[in-house]
Formats: sequence, C-alpha cells, structure tokens
Amino acid sequence: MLIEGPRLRIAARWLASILVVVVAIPLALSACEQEEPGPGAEPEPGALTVAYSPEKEALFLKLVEEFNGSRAPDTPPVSATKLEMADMLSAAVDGEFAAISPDSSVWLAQLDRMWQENDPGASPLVGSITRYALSPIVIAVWESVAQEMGHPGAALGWEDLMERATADPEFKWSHPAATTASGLLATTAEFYAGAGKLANLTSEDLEAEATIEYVKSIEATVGRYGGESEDKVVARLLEEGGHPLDAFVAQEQLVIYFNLNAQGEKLVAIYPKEGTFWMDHPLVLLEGPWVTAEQRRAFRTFAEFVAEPEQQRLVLREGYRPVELTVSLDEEGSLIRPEYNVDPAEPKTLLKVPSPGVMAGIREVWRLTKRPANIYMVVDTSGSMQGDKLAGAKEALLSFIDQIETGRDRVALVVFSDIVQGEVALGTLAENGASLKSSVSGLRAGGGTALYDAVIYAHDHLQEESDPERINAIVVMTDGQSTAGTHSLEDILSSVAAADTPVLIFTVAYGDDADTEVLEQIAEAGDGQAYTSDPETIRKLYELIVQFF
Amino acid sequence: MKPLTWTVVAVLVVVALSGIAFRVLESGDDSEEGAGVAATPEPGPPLEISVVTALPAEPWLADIADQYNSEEHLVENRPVQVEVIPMDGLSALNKWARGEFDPVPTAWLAESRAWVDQANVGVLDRTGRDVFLAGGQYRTQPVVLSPIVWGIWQETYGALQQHFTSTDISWDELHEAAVVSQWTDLGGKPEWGTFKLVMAHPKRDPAGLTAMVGAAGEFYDKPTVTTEELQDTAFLNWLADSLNTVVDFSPVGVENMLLFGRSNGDAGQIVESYLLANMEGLQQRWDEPLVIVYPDPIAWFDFPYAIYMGEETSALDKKAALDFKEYLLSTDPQLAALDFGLRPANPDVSSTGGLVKRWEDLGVKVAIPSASRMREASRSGLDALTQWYVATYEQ
Repeated sequence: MLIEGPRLRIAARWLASILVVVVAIPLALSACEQEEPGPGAEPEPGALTVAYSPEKEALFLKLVEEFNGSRAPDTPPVSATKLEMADMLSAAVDGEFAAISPDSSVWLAQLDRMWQENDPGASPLVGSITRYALSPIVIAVWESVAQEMGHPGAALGWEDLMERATADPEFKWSHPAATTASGLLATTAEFYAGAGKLANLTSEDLEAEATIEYVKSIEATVGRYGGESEDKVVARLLEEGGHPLDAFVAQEQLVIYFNLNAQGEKLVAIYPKEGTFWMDHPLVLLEGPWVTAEQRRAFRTFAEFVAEPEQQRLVLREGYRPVELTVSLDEEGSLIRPEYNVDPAEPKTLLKVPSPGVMAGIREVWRLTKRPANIYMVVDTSGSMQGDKLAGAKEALLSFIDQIETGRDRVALVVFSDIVQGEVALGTLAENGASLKSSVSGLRAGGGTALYDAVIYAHDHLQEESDPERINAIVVMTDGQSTAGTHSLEDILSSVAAADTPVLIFTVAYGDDADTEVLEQIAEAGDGQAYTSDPETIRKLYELIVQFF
Repeated sequence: MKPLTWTVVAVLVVVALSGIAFRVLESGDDSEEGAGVAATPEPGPPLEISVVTALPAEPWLADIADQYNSEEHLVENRPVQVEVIPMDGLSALNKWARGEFDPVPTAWLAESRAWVDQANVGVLDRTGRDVFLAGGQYRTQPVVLSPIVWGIWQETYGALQQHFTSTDISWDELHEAAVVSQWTDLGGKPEWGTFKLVMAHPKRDPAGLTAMVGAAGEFYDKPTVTTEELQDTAFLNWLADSLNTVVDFSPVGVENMLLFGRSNGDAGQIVESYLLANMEGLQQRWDEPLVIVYPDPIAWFDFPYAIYMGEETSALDKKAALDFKEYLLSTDPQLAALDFGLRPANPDVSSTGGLVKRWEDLGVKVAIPSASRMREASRSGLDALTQWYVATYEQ
C-alpha cells in the first residue's frame, strides 16, 4: 500500500520529530560544558577542598579555574575557600579541608604542633608539600621616601627603617599583624635586630631586656598594625590614593601589582640588607583520617598541574616567582623586572627561620611589646537595633573584648540612642573588663540615633587623654543615620582635623539602613577604615578590627 | 494498520536491526580466526593496588606506574592498576607502627631497608606479626638506588678546594667553614656572607637523619656508629657547629637550596637523584651548577620495595604487587630510572646513561669512589639523634 499525498507529509513530519528526539537531545547533552563549581559554592561531593590565604586570591582562583576547566571528567574538582591564617590552621586541625595553601611554610610546624597537642606520637598532619609561587618579603616604600633614605645607591634594611621611624615622628609605617607570615616575619626581623643577630635567635634573646626595649621602641613608631591582608592594603592605596603610610611590609608581588596599576607615584621594593624571608605559598595535603583516596588523587593531579610550565608562566605573569627552574625570570610576560621597581637578583640574604618554639615565643612577646592602644567602642542602641542586630552586636563586642591585651590596651564603652552615655570609662581590662562585659550584655535598644554626638564624645575624651604614645582609636557602629543630638558631620570633620592627638576612626555600617557615605567620610577623616556588616558577619568583622591593635 | 503507523514501525525496526548488526560486527573479529578457537574471556574488573612511595623515588615510580597501568597487566585475568602515594619515610614509618594507614597500602617503596625493618618491628610489637618479608618471592627488594652526596655550588667548591688544598671536601672541612666568621676568611667572596649548610629536616626526611649519621661516621672515622657514640657530647657539639648554620630546617629545606640559591645554602648532603634531576633547571635559574662530591663513608638509599603481607590485603593484591615489583626490576623501567637521576638496582642493567652520564663533568661518577658504605644506625641511635635535634632546634 503506497503512502502518498497528505498522509506522506504527515508521516514525514512524525519521522522528523522522532529523529529530533533521538538525535538532537543527546547531542545537546554532550555539548553541555562541564559545570565548574564557582567560588563560594558548596563543594561537590568528593571535591578536593582547599583553604588558601587571602593575599594570593587572584592567582589561586585563576589556577583553580584553569584546573577545573581542563580536568578529566573522572578527576574531582578543586573547591577553594579563602581563610585568614588563624582560621585556616584551626580548620585544618578540625578536618574541614583536605588541603591548605597558607602564605608561608613557616606555619607548618605550628600546624603539626596543634595537631599533636593531644597525641604527641601522632603522625604529622602536614603531608605532601608542593610549592608553585614564591615572593620575597620586602619593605615597600614610596619612590620619594626611598630616595631620601639613600636608595638605590645605599643598601637599606630593617635598621634603616627603624632609625628613620624613631628619628622622624612624622614617618608612618605599618606591618601586618603577627597572624600573617609577613607580619610574623617582620616582627622576627625586629627581634633579630634587637638581639644583634642574623641567625639562631633563642628564647633567651626574646626575654633579654635589651631586645624587648629595642622592639618596644620600634613598635612605638608603628602607625597601626595591618588588620587586613596586604592585598587589601594595596587595593585601598590604589582606590583612595594618597600616602597614608610612608612604608609597609608586604610581599614583592604586591609592590609589582601596585606599580602596574597606580597612576601616580610608585612604590619601591627594598630587600632588607640584613636578610628577609620568602612567602613560599605551599600547597599542602593534610594527612588526616577525613581525607579520602579520591581527594588524595585529586591533590596529586592538582599539585602536578600547578607545577607545570604553563601554569608556572601564569604565576610569573601575576608577579610571583615560579618554582619551575626552567621558567626564566626574564621570560616574556615576566613582571619581575626593574621597571616595576623590583630586583630579580634579590634577595641575597635570608634570615634564619627560628625554631617553632621561638616563633611561638615571638608571637607572645610581641603582644607585650607592641604599641598599646586606647580604644573607644561606640555602639548604636537606637530602637532599630532591636532583635538580631543587637544580639549580633553584643556577641561581636564580647569577642572583641576577649582579644584585647588585658594588661596593656585600654578600652571604653560609649552607647548612643537619643543621648550619648559613657557606659564604661577608659581602662585596662584588668580594671574594667568585668564592667565592660556586663554593660555589653545588658545593652537595650530604644530611641533615636545621636551618631555625631557619640563620635564627638569619644573623640573629645581621647583628646583629653592626650596620650600620643598609644594608638588612639574609635570603633563606631551604627545601623542608621544620625537623627538626634546637637552636632553635625562638619563638627566631626573639623575636630578630627584640628586634633592634637591623632585618632584612628573605624566605622561599621550595620545593615542596609546605615548611611555608608557619611561613615566613609568619618573613617577617611580619621585615617581609619569603613566597613559594612550584618548580624551574620559582625563578629568576624570585629575580630578583624582588633587586629589593627 | 494505518499507513502512518506502518511508517513508524518500519523506522523503529530499521533502527533496531542496525543496532544489532553493529554489535555483531563489533564482536565478530574473533570468529574470523576460524572455527575451533575459544574466545578469550573478558578481563575482570581492575585490581587496584597502592604503593606508598619515598619522595625521591616518586617521580620515577609514578611514571613507571602510568606505563604499567596503560599496558593492562593481568593477574588472574584482572588488569592491575597501581596508585602511587608519595610520603616521606618517617611519616610512613610512624603510620605503620601506629596502624594509622586506612586503607593499608599494598606495598611500600621506602628510602632504605632499615626503615622497612623498623616498620616491621613496629607492626610486630603492635600485632605480633611480621608483615615485610626478608626472604622468598615476596621479599623486600631494592628497585632503585641513590647515594647521599654533597652538593656544593661550583664557585664555593673552588674556593674550598683552594683553601683546604684538597678535593676531598666533607664534614671536617665544612665544619671548619661553619666556625669561621666570614666567607672571606676562607677565600670566598664578601657577598657570600657566612657559611650556610643545607640539610634535610631530620623529622620529615630520612636524608636528614642519614646525613647526621654520616657526620658521625666521619667524626669517628668508621662506617658503623653506636647509639652511645651518637649521644656523645663531643660529637654533638661538633655537629651543632655545622647545623647552627642551617638557614631553614623546614620540610622543604633542601628544595629551598634550589629555589633560593646561595642565599639559602652553600653546601648540603642531599640525595643524588634529586640534584641530578634538577641540575638543568638549577643552572638556568642561577647560572651556576652544583658540584657533586661523594663522602666517605657514603650512605645509600636502596629504595626497597616491600610488599605488605598482613591480612588486610588479599592474596590477589599481594600477587599484583609482586607482578609490579617484577616489572619495576625489568630492563626498561630500570633504564628509565637513569633519566630520573636514580641508579638501577638490577645488576644486569648498566648505570652508564641518563642523568648519571649527563652530569659527569660536575663530579657524578658511575663507580662511586668512596671506600666504604655508611651503615644505618639502630632505631635507638636514630631516636637519640632525633631527640637531640628537637631539644636543640625546636624549642
């Protein structure tokens, strides 16, 4: 029976439809690209979970993206999480990651000590180590300042920095908190200088009066400590311009990054003549019972990947030094060039990394020698703070207090709603710790927002203290706009400009209704920093801010 | 049936017949050989074994394992797939002793037989069983070799030769270099600063402990040292003079010599294969090679392949591990070892070739000139050295 005419057309349409279903859909499925897990996404089951340090975020995420996009289908992806060092070490010991990439190998001995604390005979947690990017720690100095100090003719170092800082009260420098490798190692360099050594720093050296006095005198010249990772410091310099600091300690790569992007004056990388350290960014497999065979295999594949010449050339193009020795520092695309004010032949001298015991001692002794602070915590208790906001703020403030040095830093509490109340006067925690905590726990919300009055109150009290030996600071948090009180924003700006005693002002815009523009102006006037937060992040933010002290 | 329906059915039948025809053609090759030939049974599922591997041998072993895996070697009709797990010998030794491996590896390529013996003792203490055999088909057997040698920057070596009027540079000469205040006192350049020794981390790299035992061998002028001799104050003070110049005792301290150049160290006792494998890159980065000098007595890593004979692995696993061991000892993998700077353990395979040959002009020798071999210290001796190191350099 022949099929013809309309029926033929109908049959043909049916056949075409079937072919579409049978052929096109599988084609479409196979053409779909392998989906890569984005940063922040929940890791896929079996993924290689890696915590990395913040200053190398751009490079690390590029490597992860390249790897995830090119891996074989049966190779698990890498899921990367950015963490500050203290959090990374805790998370590693708690089994939250299969691998880590800290800023320096200097932390690995500490990690094993933490791991073996409860079981000294346990096998090390630090397993296979692969390096993929290197950057020496340098003193970053503005070109004009470097010239004043004798660069490039004179070999400069820690001693020159310290001499300049003690001789010139206008000279402002900072180093990161000792919770980062560059901060810890900068502090170590100070202790070496104080002990008059280049190697074999001992616990006795740390405790010697001459060393402590030397380090104290240096720390007294620090404008503030870097609470944020150095990449954020450089990002702020690029965004805000100006010279809030004359010098700071950072890895060489950040000097390159700044010089690549800055419009005005450039930075110079000073490689300390006494010696320095390297940030060697190790990628470390954790030998914990939670690490699966699949993750172990994925680690090996990822470690091989980052060490391949192609990825090493990416490392070079990002301003780091490659570990692959056959990738030359003067290859095309390299940023390790004198035109970026860095020297590929440096550093010529390395300081000896002290023993793990001495490093732990340095962190402890530094807390006793660092420049102490007067801190006014200024807290919004207006009606809109009711509920989760106030609860979150209380938790954050209590955490902040817990991290303050009990014997040295002084803290006061000021609360504001319709009016300003000095809840707890300035004092060390030994003097007022209990009152502070009790007051914080008892905070109640209600009334308007006398924001400007509160800032003026705290600022005036710090001027009355007239204590330039200390870092004087205000940390003010508000969820709204100033609706009460007698002072204005202009009053604050004038007071700060006319102040005899410099006061750093950190502002926290808590929630969506806060006037971020005003808070940024206040922070800028006070040479501090402005932050935004919410009940979920407020605690972490205060833990960050305390690093500035 | 309606015409349309016939059309649809016809299409489906054609598709189905095509599929059947394709399958028949695909599986039809064997039948072309003629009647009476039995079809080869399909291989079974992969037989996966794991080998924990000393770090200096890992690049070679991983390469050979990839080759072995691609060749689909069958053991009882199952293709063996080898997974290589890099791990330093001290960590591995600790895990064996404490039963921390989970799952238990099928085999262990350790740095030296002494570590395997110690691991065996550890497991015996814990479980009452020997797990690494010394005899028979499944015995622990070296598969590649590499001596522990001095690597010294070429210019540094020249300066030391001139100062000491000798080509024999070893612990005694480097000790003297360590105790003088500046390189200029040794005829070196001012920019070299002070002498800096490189040594592997004694708690993370067996080469570090081996170097310390080798130092004892030179101090006492004999190839075997006792625990008491390792604990002797005179020896330890002498050793400390040199170790005090080490810039970095991290687990990656030896690699740092290559990455950071002279600023990290002037000379060090290092596994020869590591130096040979990195010599080209090193010269490219630093415009200066390292010269190889053979200590006397000389210590070796004999990289024994030890098959785990405990009950946690099956008889088939063990058989697969044995098959892989035999493969490692066959000619091609043994020759390939030379390209990684390792020396063949199979006596029928010559050591003249690969990187050993390539870097001859930097002091590498096929026939090691050292008169005697440094024996491994006892476990108690190594423990004593480790405790001294911790007390001196980690507090």
